[in-house]
Amino acid sequence: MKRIIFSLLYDNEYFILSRNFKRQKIGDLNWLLKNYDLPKVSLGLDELIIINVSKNKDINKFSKVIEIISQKVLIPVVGGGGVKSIEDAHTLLKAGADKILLNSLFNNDPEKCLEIANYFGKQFIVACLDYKIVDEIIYVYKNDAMQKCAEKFSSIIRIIEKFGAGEIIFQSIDRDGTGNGMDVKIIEVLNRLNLNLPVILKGGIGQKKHAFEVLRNTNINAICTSNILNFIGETFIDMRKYLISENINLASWSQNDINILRNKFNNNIDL
Amino acid sequence: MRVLILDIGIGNIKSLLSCLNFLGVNSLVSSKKEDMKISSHIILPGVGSYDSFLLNLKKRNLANEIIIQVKECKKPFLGICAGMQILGNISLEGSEKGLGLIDSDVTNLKNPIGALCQKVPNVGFREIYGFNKIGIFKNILDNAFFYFTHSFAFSKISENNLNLAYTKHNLPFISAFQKNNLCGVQFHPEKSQSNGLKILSNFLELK
Repeated sequence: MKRIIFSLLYDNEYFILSRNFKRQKIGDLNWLLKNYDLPKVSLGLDELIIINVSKNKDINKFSKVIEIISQKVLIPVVGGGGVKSIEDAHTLLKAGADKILLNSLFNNDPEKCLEIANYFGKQFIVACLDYKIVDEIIYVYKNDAMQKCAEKFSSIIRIIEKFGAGEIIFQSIDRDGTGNGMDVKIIEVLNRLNLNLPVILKGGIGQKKHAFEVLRNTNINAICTSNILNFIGETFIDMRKYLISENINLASWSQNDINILRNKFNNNIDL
Repeated sequence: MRVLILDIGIGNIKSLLSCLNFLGVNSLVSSKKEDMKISSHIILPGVGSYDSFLLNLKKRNLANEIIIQVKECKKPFLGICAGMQILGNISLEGSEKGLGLIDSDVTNLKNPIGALCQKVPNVGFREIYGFNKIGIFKNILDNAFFYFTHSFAFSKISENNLNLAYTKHNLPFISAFQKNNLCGVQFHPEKSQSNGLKILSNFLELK
């Protein structure tokens, strides 16, 4: 099954739009809850990722955001940004995250990634790799794409595979937030590498056709977008319908059943 | 109804809690034996590797109480993901001994087929099939979708007269079972939209 994933970017109390990693504040948590019917929007999605891109990452403060949002959706929530230890991972898990996202830690301290994976299982770890292609060479960046890594793309991937990741997000810094379509060059590279981990592509989706062009590739398991303005009304539900009609292998479920089951037991408890 | 979410310090408690809230059920989160004794339904949610999960369970002296609640009190019990796996005998993921409530061993999803091999971990929605539409599977359609995220699973259960659901992967694995009051699901019902809500709702209707 393929997946459609949305990611919310959280920067110091605000959700943001990002374009080539340059940020624009959109609104705070109250704004998000007021403007988005999260249970409904999540009907079109397979997963929700919430990434803390704040300069000073306060894991406890961020976990409150995870806690409030994860209560509103019936899909898996991935939390990440600044996770450095089993304790940090635990804080996010306790707040409601089903998985965690690790990015720079795979460069800075891969042993620590493995330690977290050994404790929670590999399926708990989503690696995120930010890259740029210049003259056919792929460069990997860390620390919210501010710092270029010295290691080669292929060796970083091997580290990610070896040190506990359960899946990998490839995020194109050049396509980020442009809406001009996803990076198809990387797909060729990934086809050659033939990774055994599920692969998620992120950056550049502006139309549902962009999602189709990527998801029809066998080696791409999911697409991820973080255009918060798309995260409105029926956009993802429409995209899902369209992709299913184009024979993309996506799960489907009944909105009607969900409405029937809401509050079925009517708090009939005697605790 | 007194629903207990058994908190062994490593599960995704919040997700399950909000899902039960959605169904209109107020549940208690606890790791106390006394709370297990007075509950009507027990759910053991699971995130964690096999050994760390079992060690957390044993550290809290809960393993034996689970066995008593399931075997002697015949209380409806639902293990989710790692919470299902530890109901078996052993696992290739670790060296700890499982609770032995169901005669099965946990195996690795990998198999040596090669290029067209399905990826591990198995992440995302997949279909379940082969079950009788009664008990926890009431009103679940054949090939209904559920959310999975795991690298290990039961490949077979050496007991008769169980209601089993399977899921296709490199080799089919057991995605859910019901043995009277004892239930286990490899998928995450709390993350499976309408179908997950149905399974949880069916479980809560078990007496």
